Amino acid sequence: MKRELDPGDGDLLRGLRDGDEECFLRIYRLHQGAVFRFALHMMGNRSAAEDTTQEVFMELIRNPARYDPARGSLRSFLFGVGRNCVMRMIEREQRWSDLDDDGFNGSREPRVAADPAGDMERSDRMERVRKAVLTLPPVYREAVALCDLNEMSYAEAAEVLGCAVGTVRSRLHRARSLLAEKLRPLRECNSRSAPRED
Amino acid sequence: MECDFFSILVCELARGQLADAGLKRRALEHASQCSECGRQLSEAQELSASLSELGAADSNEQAPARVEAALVGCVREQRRARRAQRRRVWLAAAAVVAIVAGGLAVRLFRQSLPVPHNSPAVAGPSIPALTSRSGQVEEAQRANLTVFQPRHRFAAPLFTKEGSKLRLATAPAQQDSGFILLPYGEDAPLPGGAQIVHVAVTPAALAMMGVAVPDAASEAYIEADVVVGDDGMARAIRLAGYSGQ
Ligand SMILES: [Zn+2]
Repeated sequence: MKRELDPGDGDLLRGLRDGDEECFLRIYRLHQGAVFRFALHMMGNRSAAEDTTQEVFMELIRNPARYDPARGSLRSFLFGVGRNCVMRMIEREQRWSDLDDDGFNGSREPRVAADPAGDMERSDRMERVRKAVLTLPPVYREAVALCDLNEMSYAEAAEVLGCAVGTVRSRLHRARSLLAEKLRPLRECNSRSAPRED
Repeated sequence: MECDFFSILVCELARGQLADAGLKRRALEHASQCSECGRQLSEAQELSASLSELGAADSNEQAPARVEAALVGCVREQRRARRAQRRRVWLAAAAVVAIVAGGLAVRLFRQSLPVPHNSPAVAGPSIPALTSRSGQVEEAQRANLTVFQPRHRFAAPLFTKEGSKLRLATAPAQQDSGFILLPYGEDAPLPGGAQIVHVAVTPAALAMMGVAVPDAASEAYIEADVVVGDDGMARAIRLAGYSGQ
């Protein structure tokens, strides 16, 4: 998951500038999943995540020169563009404040369509965690989305967010405290319903 | 270890990111002895496990195929546009060269002919260019401005001369003739006469010369009459029509 500056990025970008479709497809297939998941974790909405992914790569196609390898990896650049796009959408829609009690205010498709093992509890727990992440203020949410859900290092997250490593660390710390607080009732409920061992 | 210090480390500890082995051992020791810090650690570890579970569950999520298809279409479109732009630049450059070369050829041709005083520079049919409207013919003749129109007739005077500057005649003569001055042509001194050269150019070439055309991206050729001074420089242009691809 963690990638350092890839020397191949330069060649692929040169190819993209010349309109080489193959080069574009290699870049896209390498990074689209991570960009899509980041947008999904930030907005909890597949259609918004799809729009974000499209916008990120459209920007790369139109202005490949905007990416400066000296400033970081292509992956960080793409996440940075995606992050700006997500923040604009969040600002526009104020989605996080509109979430209803059931989460995802109906615009979101069910995450788990079928659970063959019947593990409803697991799926329910994950949905609660997902909802808790989505109710975090955006600056804390992005720290969790990048570092915990996308397994980015602090340094790479700092590159994406354009801030110091220490800022990422403290935001993540604060985000996790808020999450723990939000999930505490669920945890207490689970520990009460867990079978006693004695 | 103090509880306050432990709470600073608990996030790193739960995420498995506490690199300092000694610090990690002391923190774990404290958590095993202090119930509140022990609770904090187990809560943070559970949160890490839940987030990892969520990340893993979503690890196969990706944008649908239609996004890729739309983007590939965009790459192709971009490539087409870049190629067309390169082609237009070359055509424009070729057209400008052709116009300048045409002007020079006219100039050389005229220099090889005897020129009677205050009369058309080239022998042949009568000069229809600067006719009618009283006074303006004389003015134009005084200005030694001779404009030929090989194919089309236009009745109104086209240009006047102020000092050594070329000026378009005032409306409605200007509208009648259909000629427009090129941006740099207006201020360029016109030392001698001028000649009309019939050319076919791309809209992009016209746009480069400062002529406003409705569709500069079109690859159709436009026929135009260009007024070329004796110095070989284009001064004014009149669009005649599109001749197709
Ligand atoms: Zn303690």
